Amino acid sequence: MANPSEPAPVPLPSPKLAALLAWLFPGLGHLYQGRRAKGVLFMASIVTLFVAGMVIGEGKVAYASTLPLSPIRAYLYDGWPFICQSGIGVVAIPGWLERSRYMAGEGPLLIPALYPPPMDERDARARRMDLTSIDESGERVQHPNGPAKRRYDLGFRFEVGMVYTVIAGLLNLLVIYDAHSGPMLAEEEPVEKDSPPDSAAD
Amino acid sequence: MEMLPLIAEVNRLLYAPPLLLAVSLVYAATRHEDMPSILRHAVRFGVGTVGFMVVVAAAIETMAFFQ
Repeated sequence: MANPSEPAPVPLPSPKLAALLAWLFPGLGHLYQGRRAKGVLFMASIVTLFVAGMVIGEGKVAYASTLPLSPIRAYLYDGWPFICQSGIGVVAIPGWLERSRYMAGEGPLLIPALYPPPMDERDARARRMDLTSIDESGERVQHPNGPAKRRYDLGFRFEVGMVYTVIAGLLNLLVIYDAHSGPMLAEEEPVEKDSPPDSAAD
Repeated sequence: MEMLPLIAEVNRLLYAPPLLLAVSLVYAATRHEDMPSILRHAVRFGVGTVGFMVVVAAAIETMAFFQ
């Protein structure tokens, strides 16, 4: 029996399709359901955050690790950032596709920025990719693999770009849940005039 | 392309507000359906997060002072 004090349920047409669309592109599921304001808010927030992270990281912070998927613990240790970034479908699909092309010895196809860097010197030589940098004193620095070179070249910006894009992917998981099941509404909506303002903790 | 990183290099804390804004808005929007409630919750969440960070920073500075 419905409790009259509970807020009215939000109409959520085709929740599974909406969740899929929300995963594919942030906010798309909400737009499909006609929840335009939230759709635009999610789209603007998450896409802006992800793009800002890619700009700060010069397009080098989102790539799937090329370690073998098994043992999974070792893969997670190296590949957790892209697993988090895979909360956004338009990043995950080309990213995993580029990884499979890398593993097959092929070049980038859809989005070169998502193509993984070489994992060791032998691999870099085979792909004719440079693993050296020039430091502030003009000396050449040899890196053991592509990710190490990216971290060295970008410095603090690599970490910031990684954090922005990882959080964008994780935030989209909340958006997918919202598209499928509606708002969590852990707090009651503030009731009209006479009641004191809601002061519950977040 | 290079402007945002260059500006933020002046003070690395400048990287935090965009992150805080996005997280506050998205988190609040997953708990409410109407925009006024979302914005109220986002402001409370953002202020609470900044307050928490200030307290942590103050604690660290205090410990550093007495080190």
